[in-house]
Amino acid sequence: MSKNSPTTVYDASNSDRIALRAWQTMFRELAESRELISRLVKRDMASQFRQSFLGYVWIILPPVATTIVFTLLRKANIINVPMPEGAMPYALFVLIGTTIWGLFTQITIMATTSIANAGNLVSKIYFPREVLVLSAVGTGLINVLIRLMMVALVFVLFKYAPHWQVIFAPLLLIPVILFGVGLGLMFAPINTMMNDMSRMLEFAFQFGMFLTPTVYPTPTLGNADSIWQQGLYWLHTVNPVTHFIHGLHSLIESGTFSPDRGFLISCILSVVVLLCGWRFFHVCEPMLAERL
Amino acid sequence: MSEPVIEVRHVGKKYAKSLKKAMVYGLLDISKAAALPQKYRSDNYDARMRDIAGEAPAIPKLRGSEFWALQNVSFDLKRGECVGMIGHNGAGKSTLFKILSGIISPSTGRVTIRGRLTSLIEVGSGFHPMLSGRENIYISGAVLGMSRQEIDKKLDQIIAFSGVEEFIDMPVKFYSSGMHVRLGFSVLAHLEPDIMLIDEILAVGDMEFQKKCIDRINKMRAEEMAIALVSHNLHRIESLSSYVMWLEHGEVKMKGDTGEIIEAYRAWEIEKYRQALEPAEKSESGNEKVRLERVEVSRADGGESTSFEYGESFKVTVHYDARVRVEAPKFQLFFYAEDTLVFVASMLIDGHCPEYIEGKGKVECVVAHPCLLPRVYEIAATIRDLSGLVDLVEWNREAHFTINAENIEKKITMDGPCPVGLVMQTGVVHLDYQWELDGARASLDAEV
Repeated sequence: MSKNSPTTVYDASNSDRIALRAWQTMFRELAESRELISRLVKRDMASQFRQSFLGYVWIILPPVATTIVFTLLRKANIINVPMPEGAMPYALFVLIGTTIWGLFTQITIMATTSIANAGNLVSKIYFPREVLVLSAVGTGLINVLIRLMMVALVFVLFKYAPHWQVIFAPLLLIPVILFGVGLGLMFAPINTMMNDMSRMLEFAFQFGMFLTPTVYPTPTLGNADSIWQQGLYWLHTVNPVTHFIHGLHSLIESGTFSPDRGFLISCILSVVVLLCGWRFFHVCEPMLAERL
Repeated sequence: MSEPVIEVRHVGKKYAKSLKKAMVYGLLDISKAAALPQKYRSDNYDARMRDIAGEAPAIPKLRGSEFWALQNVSFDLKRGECVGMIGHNGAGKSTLFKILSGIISPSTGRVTIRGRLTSLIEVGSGFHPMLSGRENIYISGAVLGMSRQEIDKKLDQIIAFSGVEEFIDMPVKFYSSGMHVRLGFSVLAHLEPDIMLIDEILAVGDMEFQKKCIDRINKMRAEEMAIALVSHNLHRIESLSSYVMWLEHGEVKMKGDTGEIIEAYRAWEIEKYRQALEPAEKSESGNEKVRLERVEVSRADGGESTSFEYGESFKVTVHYDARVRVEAPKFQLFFYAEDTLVFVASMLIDGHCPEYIEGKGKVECVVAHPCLLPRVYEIAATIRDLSGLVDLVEWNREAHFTINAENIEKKITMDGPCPVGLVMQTGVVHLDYQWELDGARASLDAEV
């Protein structure tokens, strides 16, 4: 036989995908498709704004708009958001919160819809479907990178100097990304069969934003005077993204970061979700094309 | 080397007809796959035992609104071979191709592919309309499994083959559909696969490009590539295939020798086409003044038959019902072979014409020794008024007859190699002809 002739077996019982050795295949496929992923990310980035005047401005606009609106509301005394002692300016607080929340939601939603959006490709040709999810995530990450640059610029405008330890901030983003990818891998197969999935997510994320320290800081349990504040505290706490945003805040404000229990649990949860999601995705892979 | 590159064993595929049910079954399948490894399911044990014993797998039950798109298909394909697949629309050819290329997984059975497989349904896969042709070559290549270096090396060849050099830096969305396919095929053609699935794609593109594609495919086949080909063009199947598989309702109806199966398929197709025409005979047509009751075909002596040998005379009888007196009506008969108008018997041309018609009656027309070749012919009858300008009856195509191939070899000289199965287009009629060989002796004479 010429060259390297791989042997492929498509079996009705699908047992290879379920066995434990599937992890090997999964990692090998991932390694083999690096190039394809980067190619698709480049394609999406290049084509995203080809026919638009504002182009990349559209990427940074959503968090900026949210920030402006909430800052305005607070300045006009329509909402009252008490900021703790030594905190960064409110506008920066909102900007960081919404950017991180945006990172999480965008990755999750883009990953979830990636397979259904590429229906044309999926129903015509076989390649590891993870590629589509990961290239969607890659595109999302680049968008976030652009937003982070904008955040840095706003820090300069506000003449607010964070502690130098802020260079470790990207490490804090890793679990957020893993969590989002894991959820996306888990939901993407379901979304190919019923598109309620992505709508449900969008709906949940809309409200989730208010249960995360994005536009107001997490109420502290110490001086909680009402049952409502306590409830809100707990709602914040069960949201894994909260802990990552907290970490980022303390890194910027005080230059220190001490992982608490919630943070560690969230990190572990992220990894578990990623592995489960990936595995689930791999098992579902052969069923994706026909149900699109 | 002799190991088959494609090995298909008892493959079946079921689909649900309803979208809602498909959604529910999909979710069920997914949760089942995720929750319970198939290894531990009882039906899988049974399947393994049957596999070991070499039996066909048990056929899983259908759930409500499900049907088999493909059932118990088995075949082998070796290097340098080409299998032609024929069958009507919905016979399962495309489903089979999708299973072979791994897009969907079979519901039963197993497929083993040895080597790199590409499928021509993938033309233009991964093309992004906003990006230029050049950028899209890289993307499509990557999706199809080429490495960057491989594409870099072949880029010039690909562009040259596609013939769209001029527009290679223009966004693909401004391409014509022909250019789109050309570029897509060029990428595929340079993949150097071990196996290629071709699904009717060569119908697109102009003649020159089609020829280029076929040359390319023949060249790849000479380099020991295996081909599976789906086409409704039987000539193409005949000229390319080493053997043929005829699919009908998802099952293999016949498999084996190309000539034999093509012949059976043709006969079956003619029969089916004839049956499809049958019910039309009952309908009546006509406006208030004149009605065509029916148009009949019979032997020239009036004997009942609608199937004639080559050259046999036949008679067409038009039964009409004129409710008012019509002066000098002009009868016309149009003979069609599918969409081709073969011949017209018209009173507007020959000048024959009854003085008038009134009440019920009939007009007969005998066609003597027609030189029509075997196939089904349809007849459309009309009646025009005396000016020849106005149709008095509605357009119809009610009658049909068949010229069969019996004894044709006694009436037409058929000593060449074509009647035994080479590619041949026969035309509709046969005219007397004589070759002038200018000095050279006719080879027929020489042999005798």
